[in-house]
Amino acid sequence: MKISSKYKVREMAGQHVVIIQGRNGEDMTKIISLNDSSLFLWNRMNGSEFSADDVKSALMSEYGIDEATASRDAEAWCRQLKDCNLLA
Amino acid sequence: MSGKMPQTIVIPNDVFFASVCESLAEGRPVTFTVKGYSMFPFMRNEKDRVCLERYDGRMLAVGEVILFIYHGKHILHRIYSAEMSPDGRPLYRTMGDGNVRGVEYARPEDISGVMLKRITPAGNEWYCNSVSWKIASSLWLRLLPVRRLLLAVLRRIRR
Repeated sequence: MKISSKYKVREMAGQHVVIIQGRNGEDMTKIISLNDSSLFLWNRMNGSEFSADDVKSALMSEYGIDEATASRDAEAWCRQLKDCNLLA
Repeated sequence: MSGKMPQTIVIPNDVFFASVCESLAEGRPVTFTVKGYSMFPFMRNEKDRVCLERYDGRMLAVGEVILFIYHGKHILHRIYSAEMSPDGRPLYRTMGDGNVRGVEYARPEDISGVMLKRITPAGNEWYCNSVSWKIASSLWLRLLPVRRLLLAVLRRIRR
């Protein structure tokens, strides 16, 4: 999977957000707020192809968490990207 | 991404519009929910959304709705008249549809966006280049002398 290149993270009022783009351009009524770990993953994965395994490895090396937890979080993160239509 | 349910976050106006203007300047249309009563009845507070596109510097017509900076504040109001400055550049006089007094002025360099359409909560779209929008807009401008009365009535029936 790959994060769509039309989205970019911007800082707004101290939060890192992604603004959803639809047929009416950038929809400021639909923005996704990224927490610290999500922002880390976004920056790490953005621009290239990645798998849930890559996300799991990134989480384990950055946060030192065990494989089971990392795997669960990685899958949840990937699922949310998909649910929010952020994938290319 | 937090796994939370969608929630509304309120962003300070200047931060919000800085972001809107950045997107417009990069050529991407922007949609947001209207806040405030100054464009009632065309746009209702926290109900209707507006879609704007970048202002390309063209001569704007009376009746068009623009996003511009006036005395440091971002304003979305309608053009009531246009005049030429001695330097040959247009100066637009604007007023909110829901206001009975108070005008603002905008020069081309103050304008960042032009309204394309209004979208109701149900998703109905009203394009600003449609005949119906233009007729309604023109009518609203002409009825300015009795606007106070019209607003009083409309505020009761169209919330």
